Formats: sequence, C-alpha cells, structure tokens
Amino acid sequence: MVSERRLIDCDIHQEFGDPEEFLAFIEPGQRDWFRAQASFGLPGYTWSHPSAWFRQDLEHEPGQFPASRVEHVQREVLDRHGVEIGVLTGDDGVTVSLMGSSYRAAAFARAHNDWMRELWLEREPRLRGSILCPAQDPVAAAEEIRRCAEDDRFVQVLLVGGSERPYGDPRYMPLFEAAAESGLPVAIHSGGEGMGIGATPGGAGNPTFYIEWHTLGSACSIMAHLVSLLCHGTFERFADLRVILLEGGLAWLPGILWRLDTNWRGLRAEVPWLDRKPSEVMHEHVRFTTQPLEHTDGHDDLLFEMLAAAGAPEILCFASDYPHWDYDDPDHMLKRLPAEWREQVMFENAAAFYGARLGLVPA
Amino acid sequence: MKAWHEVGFLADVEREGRILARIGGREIGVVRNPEGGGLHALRNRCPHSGAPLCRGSIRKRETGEPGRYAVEDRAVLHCPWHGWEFDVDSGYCVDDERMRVAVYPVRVEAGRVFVQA
Repeated sequence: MVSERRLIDCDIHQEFGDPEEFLAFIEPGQRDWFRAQASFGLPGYTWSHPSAWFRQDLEHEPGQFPASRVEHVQREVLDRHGVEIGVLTGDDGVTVSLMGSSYRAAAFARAHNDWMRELWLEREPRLRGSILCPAQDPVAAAEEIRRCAEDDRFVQVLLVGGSERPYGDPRYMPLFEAAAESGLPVAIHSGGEGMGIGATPGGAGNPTFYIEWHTLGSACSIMAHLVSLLCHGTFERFADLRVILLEGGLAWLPGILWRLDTNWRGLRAEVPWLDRKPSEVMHEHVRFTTQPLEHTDGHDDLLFEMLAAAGAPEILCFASDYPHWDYDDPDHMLKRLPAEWREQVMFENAAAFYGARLGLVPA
Repeated sequence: MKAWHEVGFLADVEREGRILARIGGREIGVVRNPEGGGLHALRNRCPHSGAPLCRGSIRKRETGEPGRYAVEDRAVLHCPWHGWEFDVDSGYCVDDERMRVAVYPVRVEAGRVFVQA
C-alpha cells in the first residue's frame, strides 16, 4: 500500500549474488584467498535460525539469495511501500571487523564499499550506503572511512554489535574521529556477538540456541556499546558525533538509562568528564531503529509510555530489516505507533539525522 | 527567629570529623571539611533514600576531560550509602538539583559549637 505518508527505511539488507560478482571488487593479490574461503572468510555463528534467515514469501532466482539484486529491493521495498530513501546495511559483511586478520578485513571492507557503490548505489537513486571498515585496526578503519566519505551517497559508518571491547574504548578513537570529521554518523547493528575475535554475548558465555541469541545477544551488545560510548565521554570528545543503534530492541532502553543515570550520580568520580546525566547526552546524540519493535501481548500503551520516558519519539527511526524473517512491515508499524509519533518516526527523525546526504526535496 | 542551639565541642568535631545532635525532633550533624577545617551543619538524612548523610566524607569534586582526571576546588559531601554528592553550603545534590538536604548556620564560641535551627 502506498499512501501520502513519507517514509525512510533505515535498515535494508542487500545480499551477495554470484560470488564472482563480489570477488571482482577484491584487490587482485587477495582474490584467490577470498575465493577459497567459505563465506568469503567471514566468521560464523555456532547457532543458526532453525529454518530460514529470510522471509519466505520473497521471489528470487533459484540458488540465489533474496535481496541479491537491486530489482528485488526496488520491487519489494521501495516501490511497494513508497520508500523515499532506503539505507543499505549489507548483511554478513558487517562482521568484517571480527575476522582474525585485519589485513583480510581491510581488503574485504574496501571491496564491500566498492560493491555497494557500483552495483547498488549507481543503479538506484533512492538507495544510500553504509561504509564498512575493519574496526580491529582502527587506523585502517579511519582511512577507509575517509576514502568513502567523499561520495555523498554513503550516509554512515557501519559497525557490528560483536566486538573485542565496547566501542567507547579509546582504541577505537581514530575510527570515531574519522566519522565525526567526515560528518558521518556511526551505525552499530546487532550481530556477530561471539563470532570470530568478538567477545561472547552478554558475559555469561555463548548460548546454545538461536532463540537465546536473538533474545539476548543482539540486545546486550547494543546496550554495552551505548553505555560504553556515554561513559567514555565519546560525545564530549566529538561534539558533532551522532550514533544510531540498529536492531537491538527497545523495551530495555528506559531501564538501562535509569540504571546508568542513577549510577552516574554515585559513581561519577570514575567518569568525571560527564557533567550531566548520560540520558541527556544520549538524547542529543543517539537514535534507535524500531525493528524489531517488541510484540507486547496487548501492552503497546505501556511500551510507548516507557519509550516516551526514554526520549521517544525523537530518538526513533523506522527500519524494516527487509528481507529478514523478523521484518517489520511499514504499514503495520504505522498502525501500531501513536498517531502523533508517526511522521517523526517514519520519516522526519531519519531525515534530520542523516541530513544533507539524503538529498531530500521538501514535500 | 530561629534559636541557636549548642550541639557540642569543637574538639570533638575536629577529632571525629562530625558531631550529631537532636534539635526539635530532627537529627542534625556538624561536619568538618578536612581541607581548611570549615564546619557545615546539615540534616543527617539523605533525601535520596534516608542514609545518615553526615557519616559521609567531604572531598573535592572530581572533574576532567575524557580520559583526564582533575579535581575542582569545590568540596562536596558524599552520601555514605550511594555516593550521591551534596554541596555543603547550599544542600543541593550536585547532580540532581531536585534534591536538597536542609543546611543550617553554624558558629563556634569558646570551643563550643552552635547551630541555628
């Protein structure tokens, strides 16, 4: 259904098509290595979705992934829902910063960014891209960010939830500095927890089941990065830096902010550069995508009241997560959201967050 | 006009760091700033969750830039339970000004401490 409403989708996953199509973007000296690896050498999970990672109603060529051609994204997301701008986030590629070799990771990230530009952004003007970078080597990551930032169609740097340490750690400073200096926000998308060189999710060890990871692992890493960035004074250091947290859930947010603000009052001596409540800093610098908005068994009013206590609707931006199985349909989301939140969450907040790089024309 | 009440000996405050007295049903403490020796009288009840506030410690308030530590000249009283910081002159919780503990004038005469409450 396409209506008069304006819509920005902040999390569209495009998939790899023919492997050789991607390998063509890898530098020649490393191409054979990547060709010889399963999944291009990206680390894997010890658990997996029991049946399929993707929506099962999507049409695609036999033997190929859904969303592996720009026509799929046009037909199933942009045209179908009247999406004005769709932000591409890739998929497994985001775990590049968990590869054991930072040299391979740097080559993969460069190839992914060039693949993004040539096969996606060049072919569809409604799409915008995310810059992958090898976060395990923050200096190399900064170099890749600066290389790609020159193209206005890249609207953010993209990091993965799984990491060696939470992203406020000073080791990552060159990366955030490059993003801030380039005027690019940093997106952190859940995933990769416990993979490759990443820490285990949640501090209790690796889960057994995908259901455990999907409930906890993806949320815990996002919580950890949020708290870390705030405590390290990342936003005091880089006053123009903005961060968007993708697919980590939302219902926990007021609880974490209440805990953090309370602890800040008593433990501020550890982080004395924080001269105001962390939740206030968050409200100025951090946004969250909506998907997967928790199903509340009839308690949506309570959920939205809690989210309002955490700063909603200003902090929320719509995302569908197409083509994954836990996709949020934009028209269904419109019905769930409080009427007075809809324009902000579906369009205005993301338009303001990404700013001029979206190239939007006023309605 | 509130009355002045004698609450104890200066020597006791200097030795113990604080003295407590009950005035009109309220427990009031006189605490000594170890930096400079100034005396401050406050109600001995933290407005956050009821801790005996005057059992806390007075320290210079920490400040800094990200990754760099420093201290301000301003002294604050740290609650002995949760560590919330209170300005010893105004009684306000430094990090949440919706919260304030009552403070009282204090004076010393001939080695005896008086509080106006």
